[in-house]
Amino acid sequence: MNNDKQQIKTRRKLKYGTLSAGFVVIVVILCIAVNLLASGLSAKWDMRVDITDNAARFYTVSGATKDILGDYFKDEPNWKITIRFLAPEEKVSDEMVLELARSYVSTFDGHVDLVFNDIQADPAFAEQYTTLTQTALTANHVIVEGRYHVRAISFNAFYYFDTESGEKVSFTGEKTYTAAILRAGLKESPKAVFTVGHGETLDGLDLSRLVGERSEAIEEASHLVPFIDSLYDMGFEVQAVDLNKGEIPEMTRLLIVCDPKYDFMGFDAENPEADSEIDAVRKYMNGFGTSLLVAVNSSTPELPNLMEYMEQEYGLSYVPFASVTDNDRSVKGSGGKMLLGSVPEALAYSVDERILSPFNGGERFVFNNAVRLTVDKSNRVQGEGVLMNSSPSAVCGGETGVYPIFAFNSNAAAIDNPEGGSTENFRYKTAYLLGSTDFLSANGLVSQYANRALTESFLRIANTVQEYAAISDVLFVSEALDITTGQARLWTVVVTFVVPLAVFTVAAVVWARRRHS
Amino acid sequence: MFAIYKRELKGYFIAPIGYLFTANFLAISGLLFSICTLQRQSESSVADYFRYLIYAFAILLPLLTMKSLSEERKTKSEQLLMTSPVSVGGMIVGKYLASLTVFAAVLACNSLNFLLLERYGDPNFRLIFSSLLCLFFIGALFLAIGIFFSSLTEDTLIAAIGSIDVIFVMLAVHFLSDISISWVKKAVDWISILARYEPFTYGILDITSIIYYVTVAAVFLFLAVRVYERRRWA
Repeated sequence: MNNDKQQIKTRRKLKYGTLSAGFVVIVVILCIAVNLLASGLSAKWDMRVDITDNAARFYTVSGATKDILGDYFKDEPNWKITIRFLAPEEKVSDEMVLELARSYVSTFDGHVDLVFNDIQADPAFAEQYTTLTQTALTANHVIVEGRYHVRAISFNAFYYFDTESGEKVSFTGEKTYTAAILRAGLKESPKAVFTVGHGETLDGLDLSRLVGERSEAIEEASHLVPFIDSLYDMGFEVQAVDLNKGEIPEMTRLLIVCDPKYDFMGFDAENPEADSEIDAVRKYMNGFGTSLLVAVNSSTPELPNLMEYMEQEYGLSYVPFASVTDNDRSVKGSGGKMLLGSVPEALAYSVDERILSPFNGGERFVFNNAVRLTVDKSNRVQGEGVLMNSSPSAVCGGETGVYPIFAFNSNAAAIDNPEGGSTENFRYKTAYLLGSTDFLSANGLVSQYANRALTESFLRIANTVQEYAAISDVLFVSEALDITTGQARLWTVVVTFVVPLAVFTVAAVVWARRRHS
Repeated sequence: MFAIYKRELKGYFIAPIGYLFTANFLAISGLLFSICTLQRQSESSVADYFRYLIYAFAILLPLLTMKSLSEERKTKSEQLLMTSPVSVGGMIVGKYLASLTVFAAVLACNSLNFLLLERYGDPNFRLIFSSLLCLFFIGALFLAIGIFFSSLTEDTLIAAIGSIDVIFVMLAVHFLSDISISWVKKAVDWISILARYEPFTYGILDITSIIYYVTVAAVFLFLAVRVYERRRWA
């Protein structure tokens, strides 16, 4: 009996006495512990469920990326990639870019790391990456580091923007990350290869001296040294190739035809089976190649085979000896030959947008001995655009007008499948036609003009593997409503007044019935 | 517990309180919906609507729970409940689940508004679903706070105002996250209801956030049980 009483006492004490307060503390601590445990588990295993669109999810790495990177990681188990944000985790301004990076970390556990460095607290940290980007690195950049290369990507590069409204159209995050990881992990450096054998700038020089470190770049082509320096700066290994004697090396990202005096060999009726030089260029562009730069000037003679190829494939050509001059807007003392280029107002494709994004329109670019280019706008070819125009006061053949002096053509093309059959892999192929060889020379690149900045911007794009494997962009669903003001008002009245009023009426009836019952 | 749940649920619709709550909820929510979507036309933003709706919850949901326990105390009917063969925990949970059911039903009815978006636009129902799901859990937390305050007093007005104050403090904590001291920011983000809601707005069901809402709600219900246990044996 006494024992029972004691038990009840104890129980009561437990229920509302000092021990009750202890209970409350224990429950609160338990609650905190459960949440800490959940946070801890979340850091180890992804406890987030992505319910965005099934076909292409914003924050989930798709099967295409898993296939590509999975194979690479399988072949090289020690391959590590670091995705580095330049702000503390809680201050990263783009949650989508960060969230997708987390998804890469959890998908490729042990191969991809996520690191945060606060460059505001430690500005010197960003200095080691200064060669990666023309504009200063900010907290709005993410860096993808592999064993061999480093890529700095602005948050804006993760989106596709509508050129007219400036609104985000789609999220290209997976494509961007996967391409950057592939690029950062490539063992071999990309190559920039000059063609020789057609009287080009480097023709007749000791080509072996081109290979190797920058200091060994040939002095004889001294006016091209700043351009070659830029190539090295942007991570290219520089080589030259005579297409009659050798093949374009693999890993060539940029094939440069600089100031040719003689034409490339085309189809030979006497030896129809033999591969011509044009065939070699075509094979390169249809295969592993990504960029082709042909630089001509007002002294460049007619090059029927080369220009037929450029015209047919890319809609780009030039009018031989059609010099473009500008007395009103040119460098003083140049007699109008060294004219100033201007950025076109309407940018049509991602290539020109990306190359010209560092420029605000106030910069000046000089093009000496420029020749008139022609850009086929007839829709026979797709993807052509203009990077640089002359000013409206430019003159060519006695006619005043705006003439393109740096044009391009860019398209995504299926990559040849070495095993035959179809492939879902695509790579952007871009051909550039530059109407002034002096643009790349010391006169242009080592001056107060923005030629060097433009060249580096262009080389950065050329050095980027614009390759993807059926990775879809994730379209943002527009929330815009196609509703008239009248309809909006009508529905506002319905949802705000009519429906609640109906419920209120029921309430009144219930109240009245209760009152009278 | 089920008997308490049924009695409480019936109570909401025998008296006008349930209808008044529904009418006010639909009116305020409808107004916010119209302002954020229909009236904005091409700049419609469902995310803004949900964000404002959380603040509306802070006022509306305590109105639903303010009577739950305080009214019983006021009318002395709690003596009956205390001596009934149901545990205090069962009684509190029964009342809580009844208010949660009413809230869920009204939230579901309110979601019919989204059909208008379908008619005039191309809404992302996945994002809407994830936001609604999170709003349900946030509402569940607010109701638990309301039940706790209702257990403290017999004055329904004090119960409502007390709940509203606490909920607003919990929401206002989020604005401290701008503080540059990183550990403070981290702590604030960890406890902030709004910060934990963010992933749901872009289509991610964050299990840790759901655990947070559920456990904090459980703590408030536990506190309400302690209040009643104490009173029962006092």
